[in-house]
Amino acid sequence: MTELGAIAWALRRDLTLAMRRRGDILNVLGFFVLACSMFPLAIGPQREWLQRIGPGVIWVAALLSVMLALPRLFEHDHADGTLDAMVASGRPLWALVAGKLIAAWLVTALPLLALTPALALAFNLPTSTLPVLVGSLLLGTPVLIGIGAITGALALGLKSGPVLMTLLCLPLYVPVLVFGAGAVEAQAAGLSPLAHLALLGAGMLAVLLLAPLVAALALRISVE
Amino acid sequence: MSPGATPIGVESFGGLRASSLALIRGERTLFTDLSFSLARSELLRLLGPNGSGKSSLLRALLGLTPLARGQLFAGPADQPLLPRELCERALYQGHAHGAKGELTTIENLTLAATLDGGPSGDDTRQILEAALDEVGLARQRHIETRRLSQGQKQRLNLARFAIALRAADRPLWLMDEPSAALDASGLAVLEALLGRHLARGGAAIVATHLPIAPHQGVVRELHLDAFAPRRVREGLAELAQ
Repeated sequence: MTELGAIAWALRRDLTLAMRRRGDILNVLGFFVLACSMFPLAIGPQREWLQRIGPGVIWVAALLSVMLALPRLFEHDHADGTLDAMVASGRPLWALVAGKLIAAWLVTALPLLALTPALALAFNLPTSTLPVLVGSLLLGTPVLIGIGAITGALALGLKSGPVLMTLLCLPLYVPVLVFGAGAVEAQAAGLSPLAHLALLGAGMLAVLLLAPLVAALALRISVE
Repeated sequence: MSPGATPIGVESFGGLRASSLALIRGERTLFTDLSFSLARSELLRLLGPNGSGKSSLLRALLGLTPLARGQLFAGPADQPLLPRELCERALYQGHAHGAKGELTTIENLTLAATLDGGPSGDDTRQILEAALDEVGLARQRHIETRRLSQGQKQRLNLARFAIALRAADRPLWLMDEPSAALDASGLAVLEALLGRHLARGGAAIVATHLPIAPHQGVVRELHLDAFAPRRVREGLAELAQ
């Protein structure tokens, strides 16, 4: 099995598992939609206010939704012994982790992206900001998942793992949130969102390169 | 395995030698100065009371748990070997079942066999079904694994080894309590698989409380409590009384 084979193995496995546990996907999506749609109801139909807070609310809700799904990334595999089997198989662990991360993005982040235009309508966001909003999420969600994978791998098997993971994640998520929501705000204010998007893109490239390697290292420590 | 690397077959397995292994978990020393050697067609049976480090030794050989001291050597040339390098030559079954409850028996086996470097040709399906048949799970092949009993899950693990006999290049089998929850016919399957593996020149290290008598090969015993540090050894003796 080559590196590509290992990525494909983990990707196919996790996608099949996700299809068997559709409730988990719906849970995340439901949370995202509910969190977003509560704000217009609570604040009232003032168009300017909704437009003002819309991008931020959608970004925060997406971030929290991803965090909701992430603890499960390695936890099940750790509990049922399949993680041990992956490490003991002698296959490149970073490739197996990369496959899992791609699957996690397809299963958690992609449906959020698909729903974002509908939610943008609820906030009355001008259609010109929509591509920037979706684009910023497209660049930002891989970073969220990559960082979450590293912290999740580190906190794996600890009694207070989920709490530790949240504490480790949040400060690292702040820049993503600032640049992601900032890109949309810049667009809405008639400025260029490119600077924000470029920073997000740089973060995404760094995470794509580093997250599988670092998470694999952390997993080796966690299975000890 | 990296592309281009030659697959290591059973034929090229020249044995394994472990020299003065020591393992420390937390503040406890499980064993020190543990040495053993394993030649082709040999089965090493790990014995010792609960907590004497049988599972940890198996995990340490694969690099899942770090060794405090010691060195592994492989092959006729007695080359030093990193535990992680052993992973590519070994087939490991831990005490967790390593199967996904939501997937069916055949799906779980397909995933495991692919990870083990199992069959990938046109006859893959037949090999998998033959393996399930051999371990007595043919009728359960489309049943979700979570509906299987403990013994049936153990048999599913054995199916991996049945496939490895046909296809995978994994000359060293490491099994952690493979006989747990197995009934008499399951034990017979286990012994038959081990017998065929030893007969073709493979080797195995098996942690088990039940006596295993494969039809072929040599069975040797390794008592881990003999390598426990003195204080622990006294405690274990007290427990045994």
